[in-house]
Amino acid sequence: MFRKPLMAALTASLMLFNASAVSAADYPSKPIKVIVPNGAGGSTDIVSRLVAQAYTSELGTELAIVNMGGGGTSIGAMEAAGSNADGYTLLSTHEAFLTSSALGVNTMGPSSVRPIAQVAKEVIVLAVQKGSDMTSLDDFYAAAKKGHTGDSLNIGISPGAANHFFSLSVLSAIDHDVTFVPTGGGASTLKALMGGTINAGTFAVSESIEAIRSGDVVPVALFNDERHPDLPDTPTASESGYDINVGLHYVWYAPVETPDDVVSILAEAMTRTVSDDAFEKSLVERSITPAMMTGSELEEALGSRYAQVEELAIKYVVGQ
Amino acid sequence: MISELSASFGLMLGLEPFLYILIGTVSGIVIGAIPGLNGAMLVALTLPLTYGWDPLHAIAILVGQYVGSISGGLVSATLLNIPGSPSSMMTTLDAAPMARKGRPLRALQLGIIASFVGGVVSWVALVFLSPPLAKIALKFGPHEYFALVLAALMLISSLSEGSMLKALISACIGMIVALPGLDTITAQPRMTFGFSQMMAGFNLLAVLLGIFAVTQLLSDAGRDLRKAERVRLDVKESFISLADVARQGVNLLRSSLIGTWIGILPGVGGSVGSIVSYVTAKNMSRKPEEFGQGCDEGVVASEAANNATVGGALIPMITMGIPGSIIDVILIAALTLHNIRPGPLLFQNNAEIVYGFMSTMMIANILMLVVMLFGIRLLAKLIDVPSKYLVPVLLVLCVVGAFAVNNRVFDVWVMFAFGVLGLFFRWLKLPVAPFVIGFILTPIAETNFRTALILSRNDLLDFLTRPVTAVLLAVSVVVLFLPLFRKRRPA
Repeated sequence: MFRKPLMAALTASLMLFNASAVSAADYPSKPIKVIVPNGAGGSTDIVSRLVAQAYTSELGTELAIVNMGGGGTSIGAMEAAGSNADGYTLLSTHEAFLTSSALGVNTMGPSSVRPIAQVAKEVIVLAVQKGSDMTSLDDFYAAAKKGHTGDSLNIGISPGAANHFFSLSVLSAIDHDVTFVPTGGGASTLKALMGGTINAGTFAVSESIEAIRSGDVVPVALFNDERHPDLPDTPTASESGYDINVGLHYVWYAPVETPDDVVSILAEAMTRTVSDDAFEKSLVERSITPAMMTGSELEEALGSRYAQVEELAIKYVVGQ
Repeated sequence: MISELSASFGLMLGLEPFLYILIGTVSGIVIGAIPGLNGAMLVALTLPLTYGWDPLHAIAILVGQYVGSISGGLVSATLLNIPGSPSSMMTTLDAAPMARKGRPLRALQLGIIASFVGGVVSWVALVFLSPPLAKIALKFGPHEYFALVLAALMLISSLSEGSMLKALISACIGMIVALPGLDTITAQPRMTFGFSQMMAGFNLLAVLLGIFAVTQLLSDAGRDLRKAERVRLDVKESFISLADVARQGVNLLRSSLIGTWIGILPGVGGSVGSIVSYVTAKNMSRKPEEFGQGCDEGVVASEAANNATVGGALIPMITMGIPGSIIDVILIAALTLHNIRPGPLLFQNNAEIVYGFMSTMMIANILMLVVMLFGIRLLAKLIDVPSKYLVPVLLVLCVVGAFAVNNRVFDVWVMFAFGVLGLFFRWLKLPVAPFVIGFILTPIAETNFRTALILSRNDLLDFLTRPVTAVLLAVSVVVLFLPLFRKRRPA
């Protein structure tokens, strides 16, 4: 009586096995699941969907965005890392993946995945309140330095998230004495800055450009190798003599065991996607900078970014 | 404000939003009318469907269900002498005797009109009280927010039905359940017991679906309500006269205002509103002995007040992000799903959402009036649907809903676990509202308390030197110890 369903189950599992062992020749032959380890509607989700839309036509298959938020991206990232390495489950994330790994929240770490391509980056800006005395990076450092006069600066962050590490990177240039206030992600930290709860914060240009244009917050410095087209009057840190270069990089990953030929198919399609003029324009309109990178160049860049995040985590966060 | 409101009316009266409000209101009325199924369950079940929708469409259907479900309970309260939803418990006292005396239609019509008036009065309060309150709340920093949330938690525990001790126990369980996840300050996992799935804590929607829907379905599964004695609606009755309604003018207004005020208080909704207003109406009546025998006043007092809590409850939710009732908790979850944060900034950042709530509530009220007045005979038939058809379908919807939030099977297990916990709550007679409010308010309280301490450089005295904070903390203390003093006086 049970033999029939049992046989059916066996056949089905054999077929599944065959499907996962399929060669790259006919890849991709079915829809691809893309895990976004953040809730729907946030900036990571929006950019991932934007990319997925254009990527679909280059790959010739549907991409299904699956939001799996929580645990500072670790739940979604670990789900992706533990999936079949057949190229049909991908991960779209950014620096938060590195920071949650460095803090040990994501216990599988960056070695559980391999990068496919970096798509774009958010340039990071240090912003202060309207009417603040701090008008340059030097002013900011003078107020943040150990032995500063008056009360210590309140800097808004989301603990353990990317903006926490950006603030730490900026402050790593000096021996600092500031108070980190857990105001949350970009939007809520921006509101805390406008409301006067905090004195400064680091933001992606895309999330703060409205407030900057309306004059509610004032940009002090950019931490990029060049100025941002939407903020032509804001100097970079290197112009003031500080070599700090951080950014929020949107990177797509696959599970670490994914075969080379699958990854290269994905990477080539992504290169074509991002180099498309219309797509590039849609990024620039959102104040996001296209920053295509693949292969060993990307692996090296990610390696050095992770080393930097780990160093900051040990020095300032986990050590505390 | 007026121009934004009228623009919002124009928007929500468009074909698509209007249809959503209509579907929401009708489904709310039907579910509200079926004994055992209630609005909180319906709204929690619908929420996952709205995942990919325009936020305004989500508001349209969910607020429609909110208004409809509060009103629908009237039908079974009158015809079966069983409250269709907890908020129409007091309605049974007079509507059912009136029906038994051969005037079921009169009881229903009175209740429907009272529901409508209650809705309109509280809507006016919502429209005119929200903007100034939001302006005040905008000045609140972490210190004030913490004190406000604490006062809210105390109020809900003291106002919920049953003993305050049981309410506090329930609130504490809710607070404990809110703790697992990533620590808000150190970003390290806590109370996850080594399970990486626990790093996101318990999902709000999974918990809500569990404790409202699954608990209800599990305890409904074995029950058969068809045995209940039922009043038929085939009598020929004329429409209620305007004079009869006008005679209830004072009662209508008073009950609506009581309902609105009870609604504003955090966490207490329709059931408490109708109890307070019914008792007040009885105390102020010239013929209190008629209450419970099928008098007009009793039906009006209960139904006007429970509908008035809807608008009242939306006020703290929109202006401060603090739920005024259980369904508000689910509405907050809905907004968060759409990346919208209820609170004082809602007026600045998402004004269309605020006015969307307002216009939807009014449209839903009018639809409720029309649908119920003219569809009453049809509705009376619907309350007979046997639960053996409903329970399996709704249980499947629960599973789909819990999974859809984060695409995790873990959330489905969480939902079932909380469904079982809900059964224990019923068994021990613990109220559910304090649990839910404690669960949703604890992260807000914790983050604000710890942020406040960071901003004050760990000086606890700051909580007492800030006037607003000090007053709110004093209110919490008074509310907590009030029952001790009350008992000494003979009742």
